[in-house]
Amino acid sequence: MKLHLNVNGKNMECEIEGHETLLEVLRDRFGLTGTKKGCGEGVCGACTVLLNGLPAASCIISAFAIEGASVETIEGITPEQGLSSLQKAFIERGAVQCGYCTPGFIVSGHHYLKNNDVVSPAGIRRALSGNLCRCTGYKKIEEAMLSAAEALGKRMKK
Amino acid sequence: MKIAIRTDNLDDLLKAKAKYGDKALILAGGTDVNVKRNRGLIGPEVIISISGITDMKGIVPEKGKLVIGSLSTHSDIENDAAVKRRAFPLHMSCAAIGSPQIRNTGTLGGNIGTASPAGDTLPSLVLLDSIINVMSIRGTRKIKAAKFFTGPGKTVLEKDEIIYSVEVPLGYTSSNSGFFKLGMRDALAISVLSVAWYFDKNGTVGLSFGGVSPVVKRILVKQGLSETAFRKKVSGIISPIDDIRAGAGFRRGVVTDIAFKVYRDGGI
Ligand SMILES: Cc1cc2nc3c(=O)[nH]c(=O)nc-3n(C[C@H](O)[C@H](O)[C@H](O)COP(=O)(O)OP(=O)(O)OC[C@H]3O[C@@H](n4cnc5c(N)ncnc54)[C@H](O)[C@@H]3O)c2cc1C
Ligand code: FES
Ligand code: FES
Repeated sequence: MKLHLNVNGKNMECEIEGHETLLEVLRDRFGLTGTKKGCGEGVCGACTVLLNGLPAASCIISAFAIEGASVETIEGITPEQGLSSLQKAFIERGAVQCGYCTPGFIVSGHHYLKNNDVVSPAGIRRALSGNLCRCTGYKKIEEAMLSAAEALGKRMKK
Repeated sequence: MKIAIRTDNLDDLLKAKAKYGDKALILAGGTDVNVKRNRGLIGPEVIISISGITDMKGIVPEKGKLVIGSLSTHSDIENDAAVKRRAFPLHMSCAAIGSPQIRNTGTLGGNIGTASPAGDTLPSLVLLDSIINVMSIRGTRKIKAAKFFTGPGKTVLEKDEIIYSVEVPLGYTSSNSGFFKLGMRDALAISVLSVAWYFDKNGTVGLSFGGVSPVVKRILVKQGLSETAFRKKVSGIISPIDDIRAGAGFRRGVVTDIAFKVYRDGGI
């Protein structure tokens, strides 16, 4: 069957099978390999994308079910030139080790920062609670979020 | 899967369900269905995606109750002001589910359809005497949440029926009611057990328990019972089992402790 999606602002279409997940369509049909597959069960968040504006685990989304949806991936969130404040903060704060979880964290973190003018450590933790990292121990990821929030002029709630 | 159907029309859904019956699996958010499919545990012949049916979305206030469309996501419910103010246990249940990614995708209808004894909305739905509106080509039925679930993964739903909406009575605030979930960690953990409760004006305390019996159980007790009498009542209606998350003895001990703390202190 035919699937139409708006991916990172561009209208895309392709022929898919009924069993394909959004993750498979993004990686294998559209070549957008920034979105990673970890667990394939909705637990690790490596495959996080924004589906109609909200974080979702693309590994458990049936592609045929979201005909017409808009999807934003890590490729779309990354500026044309250079990196976003959040991406820079991840590097500066050492929040990236193997990097496998990073695209998912950036997507979740980007969504939180974009939608909250007032940020808090508790809010950050909840926003990132669907993303797992085996390397960093999370502390540096939280620090990177706080530092990006500051760079973006967010107000801090204690 | 041989046939994948996507519809945004309720009548078409009911017709398809009447035609295919048991062979057709409904796909709402897919957070349960696709995990099972990715693991190779299920391979339905027909899958019907219903997420485009707008009739089954939205949270509408009516006299003394809210009518919640079965396609409402856990995020929709958690963020709804009326649910938070006046059906507080359900707000807490939805807020306790999985992660942002799961709450943005998983639906109330899917949580009910899965009918897991550990499903986090179930204790709140049963506690508040919610009504589940089901529909088929033959008509509609109103079923009390307490009568809807018959065992782990089992409900009274006939093979041509779908879950249309849920009616949740109002009047339960953060000061007279609540929901507590015990999991291995705060996020992304299936409940080991859960307790939902309310205190009414006439001195009655309602309590319901998830994860400690094949279906969620509810008791109504008067305030002022002795600790022993209260614990006996709770212990009498639950039948916990050992599984990968916890042992039966642990569940029995902890759920009665939490229930007693709530009963004695008015919350947790
Ligand atoms: C990582 C992860 C974490 C999770 N954490 C939790 C948790 O903390 N607590 C919890 O309770 N659950 C949890 N779940 C389970 C799941 O997310 C919920 O049960 C969710 O509510 C299911 O909704 P859905 O729309 O995704 O259902 P689907 O997967 O689409 O459907 C589930 C079942 O219900 C049936 N169904 C769906 N809608 C209808 C309808 N309208 N009429 C008739 N039948 C219908 C389907 O046919 C299927 O059998 C988790 C799942 C994952 C993957
Ligand atoms: S790969 Fe999707 S959540 Fe892990
Ligand atoms: S940096 Fe390796 S999993 Fe997070």
